[in-house]
Amino acid sequence: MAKDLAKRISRGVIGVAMGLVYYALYVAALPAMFQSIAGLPVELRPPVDPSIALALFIALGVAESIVPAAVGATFGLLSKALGSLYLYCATNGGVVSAAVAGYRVTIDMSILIYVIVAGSVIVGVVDASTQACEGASKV
Amino acid sequence: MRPSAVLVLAMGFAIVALLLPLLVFAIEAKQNPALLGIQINVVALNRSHVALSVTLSYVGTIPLTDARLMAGNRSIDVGDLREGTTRTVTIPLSVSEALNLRPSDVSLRFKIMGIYGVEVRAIG
Repeated sequence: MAKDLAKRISRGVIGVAMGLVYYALYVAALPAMFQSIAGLPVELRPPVDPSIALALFIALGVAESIVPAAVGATFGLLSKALGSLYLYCATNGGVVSAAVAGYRVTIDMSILIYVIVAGSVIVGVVDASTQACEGASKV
Repeated sequence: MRPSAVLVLAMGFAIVALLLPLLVFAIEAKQNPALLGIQINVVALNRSHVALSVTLSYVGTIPLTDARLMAGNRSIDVGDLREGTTRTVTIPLSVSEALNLRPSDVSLRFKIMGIYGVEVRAIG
């Protein structure tokens, strides 16, 4: 009983950590990368408050780790899709602009956003289907 | 190796390859503020028309493609700008058009290595 509870708690902690990783990647690291690579003081427009995004990522991360792997991968896919959507909205679909020395510079980096969004979703789908196949083969 | 790990690796390589031209251009622009020089002169053609002469000079290593200069409702194709390129384009305008032209009506559009569209427009 106690062992089972400890196992569940440890899975929950792993889920929280996974949520934090998704948050760090999609809400902190990738938008910051977009701000710094262009070398411009780009203004980001987060679609929701970052704390709400953090709560969602943690909830999905915990759900992913406590349910059976075959089902959990779906929550992983949801996390990736949510992160991609956040990144797409925060960067205005990859079209960023900034005022520099009396000029307005607009850079269309949408191709990069599409690669990240498509890549995230494809990786999520492949991961989910792999987990589902592994789960089915065990039955 | 899991199929998703292979995909993540491939995606990482694709992102790095896509980022490289933009990264190099941003670094060069930071190091050299005169990377893309724009010089504008107004020359009187006759009593009713003036010529807006725009000289573009580029010293960066990343080619800028499909460069296009916009002045009001006029659009002039500048072509590709490569390292060491200097190109002058002349836009004939009527005097009234030239007088009504605001800085924000003049803009330059180009693509960094044909991938990233950039528009530079004066504020005002």
